[in-house]
Amino acid sequence: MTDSVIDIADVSKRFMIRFNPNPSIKSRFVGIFNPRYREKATEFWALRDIELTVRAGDSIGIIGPNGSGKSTLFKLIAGVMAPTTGTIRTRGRISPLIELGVGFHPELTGSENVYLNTSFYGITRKDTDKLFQDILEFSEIGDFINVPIKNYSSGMVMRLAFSIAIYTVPDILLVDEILAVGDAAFSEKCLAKMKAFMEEGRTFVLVSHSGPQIVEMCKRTILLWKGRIIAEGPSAPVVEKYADVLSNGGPDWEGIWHPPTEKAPF
Amino acid sequence: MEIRGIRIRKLIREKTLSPDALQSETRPLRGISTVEWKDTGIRFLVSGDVPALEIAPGDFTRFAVLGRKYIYPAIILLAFLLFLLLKQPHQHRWKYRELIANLTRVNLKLKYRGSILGILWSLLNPVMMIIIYSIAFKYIIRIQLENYTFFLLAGLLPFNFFSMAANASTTAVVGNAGLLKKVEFPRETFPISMTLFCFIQFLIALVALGPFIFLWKTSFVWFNLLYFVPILLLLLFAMGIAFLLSALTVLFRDLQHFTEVGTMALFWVTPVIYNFELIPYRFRWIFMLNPCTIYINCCHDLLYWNRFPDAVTWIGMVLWPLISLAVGGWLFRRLDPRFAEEL
Repeated sequence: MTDSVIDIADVSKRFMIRFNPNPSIKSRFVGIFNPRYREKATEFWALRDIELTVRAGDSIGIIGPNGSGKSTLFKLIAGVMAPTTGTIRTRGRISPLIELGVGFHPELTGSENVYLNTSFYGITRKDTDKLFQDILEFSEIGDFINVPIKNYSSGMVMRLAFSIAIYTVPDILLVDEILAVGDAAFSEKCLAKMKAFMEEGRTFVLVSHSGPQIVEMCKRTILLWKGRIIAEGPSAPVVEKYADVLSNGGPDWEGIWHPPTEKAPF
Repeated sequence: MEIRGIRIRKLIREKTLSPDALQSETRPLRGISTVEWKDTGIRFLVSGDVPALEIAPGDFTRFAVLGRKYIYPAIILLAFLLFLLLKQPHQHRWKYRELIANLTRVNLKLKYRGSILGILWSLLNPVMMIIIYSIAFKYIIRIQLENYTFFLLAGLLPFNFFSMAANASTTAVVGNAGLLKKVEFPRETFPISMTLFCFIQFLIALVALGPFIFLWKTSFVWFNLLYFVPILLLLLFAMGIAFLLSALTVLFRDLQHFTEVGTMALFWVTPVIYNFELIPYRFRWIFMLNPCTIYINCCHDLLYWNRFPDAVTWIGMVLWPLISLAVGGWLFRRLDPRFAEEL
């Protein structure tokens, strides 16, 4: 498809889990002769056979219990890690909001951090100058912009991080449960801003445990369970399925569940 | 003085040439040049402080020597510049130059934030070192060099830059683990900005201490101005080493401690506090295998000895960055996908 912005084809991700990540020289040496001292590693497949296509203007929710591979999928989309098999293609600039203030340096002031952070996304200083006023206003930080970040409250850090992410106008915005931190007023503002963002035809990916949040924000949702996509479709039924999976335990692997559609397919 | 060269040994054997006669003429030269044998008009082609060939008076070889002295280095440098120009940086990577500049700036800002003397420490550190080494080696160990402090200045500052860059680069990737796992951007920016950070500190010290050479330096030649050439080539070499060390430290944390000890050892096997001619002739080739020796020798040649570095030095200075950037860059790119998982 030509207008897809994220193309995930047959992606699996394997981690090697080492039980002794820092073996001493002695045990390495002894390991040559004695298998008991050899480094033990098992493979762990965090993601298996993921297929996902996201079109421009889509909003996708990724839901699943802890350890289901949400964050791994997220990192693969962000390009921080490479998949073990399969390919991931993304088009346009990605702005990942993974944790509060990633790339913020506590000793630097707010404005210094703004310039540092935008340069991580490859935005020039000149362009940042133009955005700076908007970022400052949206974040409602005021004079604190000239104070080191270490003196900020966590809400302030979040507001600044969110403002930078949204005003640098990425083509794809990846958000990882960030909205939980702000107060109600600011959350409202963020939601409104993100809706406007999506109407501009930009893509939005939200990773969350929280069903209601996903239903509100995302048109489509995928449910991850033990590294596989077990359900995919409109948000509301998939979130119900998630609640069902949480209480009754998930399937071993039955193929992707699609919510029943009202209209006949023909 | 050791004398090599069949012709000269033959002359000495025949008792027509006494080594002392040449000694009086031989300045501690390392570049290829000619020396006249007193009272005879016979000139010797000298490679190092070792006469190798006899040249008849008025021989054309003299011009060949001059040509080799200036033209070869020029060709080597031009070829190197051409190579760098042709190997244009990737467009996508190029837009991250601001990130490199920003990271460098942040490093500089943070290093001395909260200290009273601030950026002055970049200056005080080498000043203290030079004072201490001057006292130790000039008055106690008594190295026989005129203007020893000046000699020290010319070589110690670039060497300090290199050892600082090597040590700092071991933490360049490991120290930014949090960032690496979250945001995607070229990881090369870390070792590059770390090297530049050290380089800027070196430049501060150089600019501040540079004027002091007028206290000691009595004669000037045009190629004193070429001092920046070995410095810039050393920067490129250090960058390659930074790629190598920053990538390998992710896999082997021991490297951090090893580099600390290694640079300390390197300091004593590099002619920084003593001059190259002090090394016994038969061991010199071992010292020449150490890339730092070549750069420091060149710095001394250009600034202290007022002599033009020989072709070997030029070739070495250009080759080492190529090697280190090729190997370091290759290794860095190869290990890059593993960074996020290993950290």
